[in-house]
Amino acid sequence: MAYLLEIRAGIISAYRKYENYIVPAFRFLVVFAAMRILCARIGYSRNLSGLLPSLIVSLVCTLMPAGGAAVILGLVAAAQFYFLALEVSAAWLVFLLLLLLLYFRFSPKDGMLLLLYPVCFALGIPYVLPLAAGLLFLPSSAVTCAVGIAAVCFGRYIAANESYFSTSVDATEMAGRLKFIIDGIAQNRQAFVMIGAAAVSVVAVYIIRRLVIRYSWHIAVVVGAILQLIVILLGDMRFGTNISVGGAFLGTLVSIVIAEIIVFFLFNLDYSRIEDTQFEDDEYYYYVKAIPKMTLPRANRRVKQIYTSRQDLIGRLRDDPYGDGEEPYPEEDYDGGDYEDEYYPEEEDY
Amino acid sequence: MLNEERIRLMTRMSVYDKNEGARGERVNAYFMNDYIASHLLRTFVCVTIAYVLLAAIYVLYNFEDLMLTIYSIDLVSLLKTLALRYVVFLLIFSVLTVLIYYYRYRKVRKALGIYYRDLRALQNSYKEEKQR
Repeated sequence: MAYLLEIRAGIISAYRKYENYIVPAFRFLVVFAAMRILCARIGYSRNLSGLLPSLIVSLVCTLMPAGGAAVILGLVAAAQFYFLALEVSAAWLVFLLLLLLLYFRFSPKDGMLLLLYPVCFALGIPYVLPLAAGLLFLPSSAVTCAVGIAAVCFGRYIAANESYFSTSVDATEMAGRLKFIIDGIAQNRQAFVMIGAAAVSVVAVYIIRRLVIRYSWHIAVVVGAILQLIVILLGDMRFGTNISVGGAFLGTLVSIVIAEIIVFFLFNLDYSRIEDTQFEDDEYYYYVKAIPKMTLPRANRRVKQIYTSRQDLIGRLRDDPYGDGEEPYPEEDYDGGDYEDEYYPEEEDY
Repeated sequence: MLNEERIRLMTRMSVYDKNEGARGERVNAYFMNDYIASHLLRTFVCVTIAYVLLAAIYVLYNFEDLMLTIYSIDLVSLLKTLALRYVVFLLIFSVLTVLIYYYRYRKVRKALGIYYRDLRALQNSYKEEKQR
């Protein structure tokens, strides 16, 4: 454990030192990874799928808030779909527009989850994001998780039926294709089961981590992961979603490990709230780095003992006056010498 | 000489100003009811467009059936159903809007209260220094 704490201290000091570079670099890497996955899965335009467009889009997205970056990735996906079929692109744009009107309208602060979903799906660990959302954000992040899962499942459905969409059709068959897309989304039971599992997990993790109990964060992670797995298994049994049970189990285990790492770094001090600020008064310029203090809720416990009678109380005080479960004068300790000097501990032991 | 208490106050105010300052001032320009009402208006526009989109998707999806039964449809009951669904849809998002923006307004006001308290303390500190 000491070794782990040393590693954590090292990472934290490096983070403090290079925070201004690490945060944008992390965002750039996430967007770049999402772009490369997008190009690998639905890269229907060669020009858009190259390394240079990915780099440019990632750089632009790095400078934007996470929600804006997610919208830009959505527009890139729409352009890719356009090169497959106009109807797919139109359906995706309608989906995006509905999200803008009904979801981004409330400007949520957990847009990073949307960027991470394609990456985590590609790595086989989408189960970690509901746990992270419950640990870091509000229960409303369940909606963000649902949007992320729906978007990834849409892309997967189109990629799976690529050959159907790639044949050219006349205008009369376009309505049939749109119907095919809507059917594919509305009847995607796997997506609905995953959305349900993610929602249950986010809410459970959030509720448990806020309880004033010991190890609440660790309990929240484990319970959230188990609940997610149970919902997925039940959904698979009920609806036949063809989710790989072994994969889900393994993914959940990896997710627990990653969520524990998040807890390990975030529980003691919230380093995401470090502030660099500058101001001046009549005499000085100030360049201040403000680091938030550790503030943990402390359980206020009072143990009240209730005795049935006065005799019972007197008996208990005689047998165990210190309440430590030991007799006051154990016979094996008494060697006939000056008892008081030997039995009672030194003052500093108290 | 550096005045530590003053630095503490100025740091807190500067951090607030950097992160929430502009938004705080924007929100504070409204009374709570006006703030919520303006967002309700935006929600009304967004929800209406979204509902029209969803209705268009529904029509497109059932295009063939609708074409076959277009002359036998009871138009009044269809319009009633559409209107009722629209009202329910709008109501759900209106309630969400009221809850979200009420919470945000209270949060901003609380943060602004702390900011102005710090500002007064800073002012008093300078006044005391002048009097000495």
